[in-house]
Amino acid sequence: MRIEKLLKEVSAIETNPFTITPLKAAILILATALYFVSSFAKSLSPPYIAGLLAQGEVLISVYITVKVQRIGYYVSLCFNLLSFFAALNAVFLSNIHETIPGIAVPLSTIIITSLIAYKAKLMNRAHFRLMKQHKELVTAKSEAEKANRVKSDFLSSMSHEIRTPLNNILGYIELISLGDLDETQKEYLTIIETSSKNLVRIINDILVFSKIEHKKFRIISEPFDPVEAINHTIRLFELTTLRKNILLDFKHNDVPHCIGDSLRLHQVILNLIANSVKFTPTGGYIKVELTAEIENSSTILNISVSDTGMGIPLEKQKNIFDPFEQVDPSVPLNFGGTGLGLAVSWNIVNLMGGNLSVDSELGKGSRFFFSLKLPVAPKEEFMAETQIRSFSETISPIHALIAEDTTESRELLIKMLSVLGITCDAASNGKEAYELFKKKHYDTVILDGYMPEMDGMTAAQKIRDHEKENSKKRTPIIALSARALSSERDEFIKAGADHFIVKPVSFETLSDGLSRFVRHDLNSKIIKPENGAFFAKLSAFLGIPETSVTSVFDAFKNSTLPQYINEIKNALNPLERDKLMRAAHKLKGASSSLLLENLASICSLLEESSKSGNPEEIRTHAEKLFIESENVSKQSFTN
Amino acid sequence: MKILIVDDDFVCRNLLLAMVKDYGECDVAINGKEAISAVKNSIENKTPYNLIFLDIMLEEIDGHEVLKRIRDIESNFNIGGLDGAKIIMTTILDDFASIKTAFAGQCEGYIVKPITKDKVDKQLKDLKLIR
Repeated sequence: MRIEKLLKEVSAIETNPFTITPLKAAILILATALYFVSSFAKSLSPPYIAGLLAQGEVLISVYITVKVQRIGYYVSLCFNLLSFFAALNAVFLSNIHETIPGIAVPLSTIIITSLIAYKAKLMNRAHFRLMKQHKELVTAKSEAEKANRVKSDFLSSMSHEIRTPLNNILGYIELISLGDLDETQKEYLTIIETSSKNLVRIINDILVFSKIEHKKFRIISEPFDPVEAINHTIRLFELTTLRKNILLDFKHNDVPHCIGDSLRLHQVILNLIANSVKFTPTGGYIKVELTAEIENSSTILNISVSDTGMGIPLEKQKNIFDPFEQVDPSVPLNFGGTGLGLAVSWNIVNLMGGNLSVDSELGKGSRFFFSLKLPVAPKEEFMAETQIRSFSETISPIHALIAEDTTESRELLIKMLSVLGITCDAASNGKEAYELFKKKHYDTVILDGYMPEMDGMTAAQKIRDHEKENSKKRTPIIALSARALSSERDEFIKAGADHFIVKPVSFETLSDGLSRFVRHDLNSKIIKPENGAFFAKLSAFLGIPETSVTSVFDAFKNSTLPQYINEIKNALNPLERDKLMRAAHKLKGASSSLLLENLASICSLLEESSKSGNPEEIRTHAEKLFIESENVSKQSFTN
Repeated sequence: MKILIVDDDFVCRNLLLAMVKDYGECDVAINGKEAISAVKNSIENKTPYNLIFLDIMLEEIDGHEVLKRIRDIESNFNIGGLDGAKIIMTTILDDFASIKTAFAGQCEGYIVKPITKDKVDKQLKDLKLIR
């Protein structure tokens, strides 16, 4: 920056040494006048004054050479040549001794000024070279920026195009998994599912990254529950950690609801956990910690993700957050990944006002951590959301109107709804949907965002207008979009939508969205496949065939569990702490082996309290345990 | 390979059995007493166990005591060092202190519950019992 400014200044003066500015002309005229005055005075005055005047002439010459540059140099050259020849002339006419300085002075002045002029010329030349290079650099830079922009535009439009078919793949995977599949097919299907989900993550990273590069990235502020946000993220890793046999632990203290961007926080933690899972070997341990410190009306959230993975060498730690940086160039071959995740996370945290740092020891593991200062959400803001939900009546069966332009996505939506027991009419754009809506009553309307002819937002707006004009009841509208932009959600809600679902649409998001508005037993219909998957999950986790799992599980449910519960009941009245602790401990072991995490955690509480807790506390935990064990024995886990 | 599984919990015992039954002949014991007599008999009959999974929290005689008694029996029969049974302790996550005790009592390894086949296989590989 400073160099540029300097170059500009210099170039303004020196672009052409021959240009005569008024200042230069004035200096030249003054110098000429002085020169002639001094020459004239010299011939009249005594020799010692003449010597002084000669010194003055030298100074004038040097001054104009430096100040007026090339022109000045030529002028002073002329003067000095004149006085030189005048002096030579005088030598032949008068006394030699007196005129020797008259020859020497102009001669030495000529030499001095020539030297100065030569030096200036050299500097000029170097300066011009610099200027030229600078100009080239500027053009190269703007070209590179342009190329980068083209690249990012390409990436973002490509990612969007890739995401649509990918979402369809994910949806159909979910549909297939509901059917009757054998072991191998189930295994293949889970692999396809994880791979597709990874792909979605990579594409999201690319999108975010190009947005950050273009400073188009926006952080929104809305009330959210940090604990719930992180819990949600952790749930996504349930199967992966299970398969790799990694313990993923989440610890937090009392954290208030905050105002911030939960989606972005989710993305950061997703990336950090994914990174840890990738580099942590089987049997490892990943810990997510969240602590809140309250400071006036804001909270400081300290979030860290630590693992027992391979660690990062010290010299690599400082550029681990650069895009496309991997610890070892061979790493992507072994572990996969673009190396974008950490860069994206770093940037997001930065935009939220925090600083993502890493602490790591080679071979021992790494710890990524950051702090965010967020305002605490006032309590009322949270209540608002629950109020909108209850405006529909019990209507069963549900009939929905859907609008979606891509054929595959539309088919997928129809099939998912039919699994949930919902019939529907389908439109391929907003206009069709609006026409259909005018003719018939629907329990709910599901609109895709981007559609030809009329997009989802306009359609939502029109539907609301129509309702108002005909004083119809408000129909719940659910908006779908492949873009997870918060601005888009705001626009949709403003246009009249009640709920916003980010694609890929899954049974979970769809039934969650629907259950907000329609009182209908949606979940009961999908519990069956979930439970069928339970044994597959358990069998994958334990590493033994499903048949062995089911027989052990049945025995547990029918005899072991009642037996332990009996032991616990006996130990409660009268209270025998040792017996109680033992039984709780044993049941904890058995239930955690069978992935009955709720049961295991209650057992753990009971075990803990049986050591030293008061009888009241023990009784509460025991009651909880009895209820949970009832739940387990009532649930049907078989297909 | 002869394997003994000692655990008084039905679930843990049977899951473990399902995981290792392909590696050799398996016996189960549901308490420390049974385990000790099974080990003694096997040594007397010259068909000692190569591998024993031993739960730490057992009723009456606990895992640490069983471990000690097994090592005593072995030394009485002049079996020591590498010839002895490989004993893997099984335990629930929160009793690390007892794992330390177990190593002092000369066990070869430990597995934290929930036990999975991956964990078992890793231990067996480390002990060079399977490839």
